Amino acid sequence: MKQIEITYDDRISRQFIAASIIFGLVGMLVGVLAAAQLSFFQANLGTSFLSFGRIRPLHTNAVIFAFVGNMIFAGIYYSTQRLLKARMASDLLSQFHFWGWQAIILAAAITLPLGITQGKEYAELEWPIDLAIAIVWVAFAVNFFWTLARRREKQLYVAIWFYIATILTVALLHIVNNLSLPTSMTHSFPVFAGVQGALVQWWYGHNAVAFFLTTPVLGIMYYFLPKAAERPVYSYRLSLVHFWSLIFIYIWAGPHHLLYTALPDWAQSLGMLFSLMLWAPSWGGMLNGLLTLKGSWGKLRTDPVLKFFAAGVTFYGMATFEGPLLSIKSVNALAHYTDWIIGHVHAGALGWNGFMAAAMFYWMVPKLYGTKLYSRALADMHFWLGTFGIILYVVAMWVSGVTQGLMLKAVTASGALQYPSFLETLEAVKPFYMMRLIGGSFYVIGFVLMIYNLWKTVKSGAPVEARLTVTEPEAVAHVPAGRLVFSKPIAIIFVMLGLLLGFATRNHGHWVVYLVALAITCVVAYAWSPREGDYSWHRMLEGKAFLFSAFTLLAVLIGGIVEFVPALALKQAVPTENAQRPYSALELAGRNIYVREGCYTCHSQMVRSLVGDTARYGEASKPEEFIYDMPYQWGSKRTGPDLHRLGGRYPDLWHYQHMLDPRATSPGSNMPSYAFLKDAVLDTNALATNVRTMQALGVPYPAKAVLEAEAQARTDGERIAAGLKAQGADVAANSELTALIAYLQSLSSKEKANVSSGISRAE
Amino acid sequence: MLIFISFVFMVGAILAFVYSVKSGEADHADRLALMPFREEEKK
Repeated sequence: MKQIEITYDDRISRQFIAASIIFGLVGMLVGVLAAAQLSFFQANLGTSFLSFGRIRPLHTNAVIFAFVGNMIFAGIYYSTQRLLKARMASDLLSQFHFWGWQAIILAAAITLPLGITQGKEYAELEWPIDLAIAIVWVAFAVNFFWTLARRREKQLYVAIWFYIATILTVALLHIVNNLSLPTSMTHSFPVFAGVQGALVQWWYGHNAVAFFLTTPVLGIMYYFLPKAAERPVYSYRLSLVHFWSLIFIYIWAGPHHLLYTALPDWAQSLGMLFSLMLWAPSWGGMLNGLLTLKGSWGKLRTDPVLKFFAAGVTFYGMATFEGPLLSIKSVNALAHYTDWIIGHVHAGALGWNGFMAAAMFYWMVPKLYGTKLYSRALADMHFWLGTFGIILYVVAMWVSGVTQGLMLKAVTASGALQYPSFLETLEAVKPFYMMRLIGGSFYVIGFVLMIYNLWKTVKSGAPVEARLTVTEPEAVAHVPAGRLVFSKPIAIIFVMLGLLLGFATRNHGHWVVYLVALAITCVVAYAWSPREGDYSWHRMLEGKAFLFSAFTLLAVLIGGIVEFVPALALKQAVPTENAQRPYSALELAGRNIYVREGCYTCHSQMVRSLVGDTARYGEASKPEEFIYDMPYQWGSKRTGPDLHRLGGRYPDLWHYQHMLDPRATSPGSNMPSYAFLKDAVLDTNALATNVRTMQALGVPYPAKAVLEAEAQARTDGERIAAGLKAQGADVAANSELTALIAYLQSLSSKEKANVSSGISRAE
Repeated sequence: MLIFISFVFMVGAILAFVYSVKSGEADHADRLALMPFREEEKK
């Protein structure tokens, strides 16, 4: 038998680790700045580039895509080569992946503070960067699947399953959610509006958590935790159930971010149900991880790697218990839009992702540099500082969220709101914002200790080349893919899904088609079922990488399709009589400024069908009121009040004063000043392009709207400026502030009588 | 509807479990679980 020596490419893992640590520190420091801004508005530093609305997306993108992204790539490259007994297929593609990803991160770090954003959470980056992400991701995928094709180990270990799911699903999510029509190199409008936009966005947003922050890290857990514990994974069978149920169920749960909103009720219920079901596979995975430590618990006292792994997996269990809990409608009614959600997210990000990253780094770096960890004591100190920081942070956010949630819905005996001013609730939670700032700072200090510790470790060693001598595998009997596709397990899954579809649609025609298809499938499945002496179905599937990938893609596609198709058809079904009317050119320009400044990071535009919301803000929002909102701006957190019914509530002068100095109109507010908008001149050249692009996306503007966009915007701006001047406020008609006021006054205002948009019902 | 969907998934889970137990193959599970433990040489 032929012996082959494999030299692994560990340089790529070393590079990704370094990038993860550097960008992790930057992302966390930006997070600390954002937390400080919520406690002290002065921390916005009076500049547009560092205002909270621009900094918050920078923080989330940095920690998700730069810190965790680079960390998972480091782990994937390291473990994939070893599990497949093959060096990565192309060093060039690996390097292209690394440098391409870092270039994307740098582009994000430049564009987000400049306000270049799509205005969708975790998908803020504009279309040229999105395109670059797609190219780099495809290069990564090609390299990974090419390596898979050249592997010398036929059976795929569970970690590889999770990597396959990650690569395929992230590509799918990224492409669909970022479909947009550009107006320039730095701006675009998404193709999905309003309710559809929200559904697609949270299908993406929720599954970005699932398939970027969870599945690859689970793969890392399945590889590195047994290595560190020197024990095999507790249960292979449990990992099998964990994988398939997790990827199938996760994809359906997105709508739990939109409970009590204008999203159709059936989609909300489906989101809630699948979120509850998600608890089981999540805890299956957590228990599989923790039980792998059985017999090694004693090592936790002395081994910082195991300490971080155990705590990371425990935080995963905590966050995945809390997630389904928050998806229960009655709990969500209290928690949504409050800091409870922020606490939940950070239990996952700091506890699960951050600690798993630390464990992996502490394990890998000494091995990659052929040395020992510089200081266990420092690693221990990192662990306790981090744990204390997370607990302080999360508890503060829980208390803040519950406090604010209860205050916002409290009513007196006569049915009036007990705390009619939103500012009262903000005042009540301010101490917890300080606690969060302190907790987050502790976590960052721990992270800095890790950087020092790893730096000293690297300096004490030198990069090593890892080699493995393997025997060229013998050719094994070929199993036709058809026998795995037309098989009993697939027939059973088909029956289950058919039953669900038939019952859900209650359509007899569907039943007939389904029964015929079922009969054919059962016959074929019987004919092709494994022969005597064959291995089990899943064992055979584990040896067929591309069929495995196809089934994985199918499992994640089903949920998406079932939720999307009816929701996209909704566009034709929305009543048009009371529907939203297109924005005027000036309002649209103002809306772009609203998106650019990240107002959605603190303000929602969605009055939920809950007494606490309707009593405070007005009539519950309806789907037809958002049909031209591209991007939708429902938000996910209320640090300030909801704005959907803001139009006409205050005079223009109030908005003028509020933007210049929020505390002049709203004492105690922590909103940054937007005085810079007063002197910023509106880009009038973009007005016609904006209207034309919206027209192309289906907004029914009259033909003359494009030609007259600039003139109409000027007329509207002059009207607002004249009105303000009469009250002693001096602002230019072509100022960005004027445009923003036009937009804010248009919110939910079906008759835009104050603004000559050139569009009327008659048109 | 919700109860029905839950019921179908519960039945599915039981079937999957029975199928998985029937297929046995403990040796395969062991071999797969030991995959991360291959020795390698460092230079």
